[in-house]
Amino acid sequence: MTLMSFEKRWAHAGLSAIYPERAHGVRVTFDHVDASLDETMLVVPWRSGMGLRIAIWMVALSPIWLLMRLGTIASVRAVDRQRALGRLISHRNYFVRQLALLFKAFGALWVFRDVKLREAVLRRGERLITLKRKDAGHAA
Amino acid sequence: MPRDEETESGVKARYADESYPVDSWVDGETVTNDIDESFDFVVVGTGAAGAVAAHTLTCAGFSVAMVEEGPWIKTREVGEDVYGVFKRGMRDGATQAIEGRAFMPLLQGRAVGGSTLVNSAIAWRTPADVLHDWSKDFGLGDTLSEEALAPHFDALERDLSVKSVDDDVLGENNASLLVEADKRAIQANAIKRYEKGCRGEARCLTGCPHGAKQGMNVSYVPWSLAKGARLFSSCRVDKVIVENGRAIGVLATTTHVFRARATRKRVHLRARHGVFVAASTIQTPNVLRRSGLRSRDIGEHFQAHPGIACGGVMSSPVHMEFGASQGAESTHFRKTDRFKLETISMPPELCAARMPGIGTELMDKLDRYPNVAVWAVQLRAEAKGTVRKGWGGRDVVNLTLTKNDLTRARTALGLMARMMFDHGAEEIWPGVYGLPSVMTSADQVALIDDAPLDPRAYSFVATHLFGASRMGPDPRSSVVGLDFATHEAKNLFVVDSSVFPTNLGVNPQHSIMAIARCAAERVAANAKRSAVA
Ligand SMILES: Cc1cc2nc3c(=O)[nH]c(=O)nc-3n(C[C@H](O)[C@H](O)[C@H](O)COP(=O)(O)OP(=O)(O)OC[C@H]3O[C@@H](n4cnc5c(N)ncnc54)[C@H](O)[C@@H]3O)c2cc1C
Ligand code: SF4
Repeated sequence: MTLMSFEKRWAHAGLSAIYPERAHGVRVTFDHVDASLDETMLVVPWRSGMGLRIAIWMVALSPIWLLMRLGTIASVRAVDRQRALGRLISHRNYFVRQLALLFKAFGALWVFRDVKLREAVLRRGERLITLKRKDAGHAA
Repeated sequence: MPRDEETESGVKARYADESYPVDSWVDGETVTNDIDESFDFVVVGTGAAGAVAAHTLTCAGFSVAMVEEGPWIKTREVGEDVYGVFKRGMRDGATQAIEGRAFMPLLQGRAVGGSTLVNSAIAWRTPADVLHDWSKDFGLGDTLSEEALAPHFDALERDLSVKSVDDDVLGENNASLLVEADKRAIQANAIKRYEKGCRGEARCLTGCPHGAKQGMNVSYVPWSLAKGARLFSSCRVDKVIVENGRAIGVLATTTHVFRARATRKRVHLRARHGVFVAASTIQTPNVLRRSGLRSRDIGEHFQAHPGIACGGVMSSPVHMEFGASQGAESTHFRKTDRFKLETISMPPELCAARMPGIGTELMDKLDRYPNVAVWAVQLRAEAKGTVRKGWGGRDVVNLTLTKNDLTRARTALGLMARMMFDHGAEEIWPGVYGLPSVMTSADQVALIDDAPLDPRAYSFVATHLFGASRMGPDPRSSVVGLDFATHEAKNLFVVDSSVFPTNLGVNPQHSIMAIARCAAERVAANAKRSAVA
């Protein structure tokens, strides 16, 4: 199963609401998302691929049925994207909520392929500094 | 630090998975012709059960073929991102789920080493009370007694270097659970694991980048090859060939995730003495069905240890990216409340998926990742489910947790939440629908005690799986006899956790390996006796 380019655009727009491009020191890039979407659809069984596709369509059309806005997730303003996604993630209906969480989880796998993002979040350097301080304390 | 050594193939071998005779490994991804070969035994699956059985049979002097559906992911290829391993090394790209009243993600390795490629290598001997129940309630008698299994546990512990997590690779996430348990007089300890030289990289879930974790992919599989076995990776067993009530070989097809069906090749492996099925609790029942077995008990009595996590932001740095992936545990409540506490270091992507919220709220939390701690519960669920064959040959797994299970899960969650606040958490995320997604004070934890008893409110994950081809003396209520052979076909042995009559309440790999070793040793002895006769 492969995704159409407009479906990928929707996926990008939805993910940009969950993982906004800039916040604090963390910068999210979506460089790996397209390739990952293609690969994921190839690797997972048909049923899971279908689930992911339904999740993308649900996200795409969420401004219409949740916010009464005429437009897809890719065409509405950033604040509306966030509002729509926020409602999906905490929706009363179990299936809607699960599909939204599936989308969020896959999104995390794809955006964190970016090494810079991973390093920015992990901040390994800080641990080493803390350790050095501790060592210095012991030595003193 | 391991050193590079020259191998037969001229490759510099640094890790155990690079050191084996050149022609002992057939990679189904690159095979260009159909294959037809003969062996004494064929072993299906190279996970905890299959690899150990294959090694035992090889050491007993038999020629052995190991057939594995997934690829062999070498230590040098192991990356840090979870996507990479989910894509290549996990079944269905890690999208499997248990169905029932709620969906429960089901994680299984599909690679050489099976789930041991991606697991945390926690080692637990089968508890005596469980063996006692099996003996008395399920008619196993002395088949799997403590005495019978002890020498196998001893040997496995020697081979795989079982030891408690060293202090210098314990890390803060693990240490904090021990401190809090101690304050409450809850028995807890550093976890015993299969490892040689762990550097505390907290990456067991994506495969150990140093070959320190003693998964089957770097231990019994290459050791078996070194002793003369052959490995057929990326070859899926379609069925065991049963003729005149006797297993005589397997038919398999090569697999390649990214290549068309047309390029697949047929693999026919003949077995003079028998076939061992060790494809895991989930895949074994359908391998048996595809092989023509008709027992009504196949796929019944499935059980699991559903896991549920509680995360929180601590007031001081935790740095989950350092320390044994899972380094501290408590079995204090195993008998009374049927749960076990464990720490678990979550890489950023899994944390992001589990953290509450989206957008700026989520990014704020991610920004505090260095202060995040995650602990988890493994529940010895009483619920029983099924493994059936679905459309297109799919494994369909069904299980719905009972009210008792959910009551215990919320007790455990509440306990972890309180312990986290005591340890200075600024906020915790219980992950229960209907409750605040973020709790900022210990007073709020009381809400967890009254959380809904609806499985759809919780986010369980299943990694410990049992039953579905149970062992027992009576063919009317079990699939496998006390000699590990199926009641229906001679020389068709089942040695993974699908034969377990119940779940355990502790991590299963050690029990699975010991039982597989015991089975292989007995079958090998019988085969030798009949050859002499
Ligand atoms: C993330 C994770 C963490 C875990 N942590 C721990 C832990 O710390 N300690 C512990 O005790 N347990 C742990 N477990 C559980 C433990 O790893 C499993 O219980 C154990 O590996 C099961 O052994 P097995 O041999 O039955 O199955 P597996 O190890 O899953 O191996 C089965 C193998 O058979 C192959 N196979 C299936 N069907 C076919 C077919 N038709 N043809 C050819 N090959 C086939 C599969 O691809 C797979 O490689 C964990 C599991 C996971 C997923
Ligand atoms: S914690 Fe890291 S170094 Fe230790 S065994 Fe796991 S992956 Fe290997």
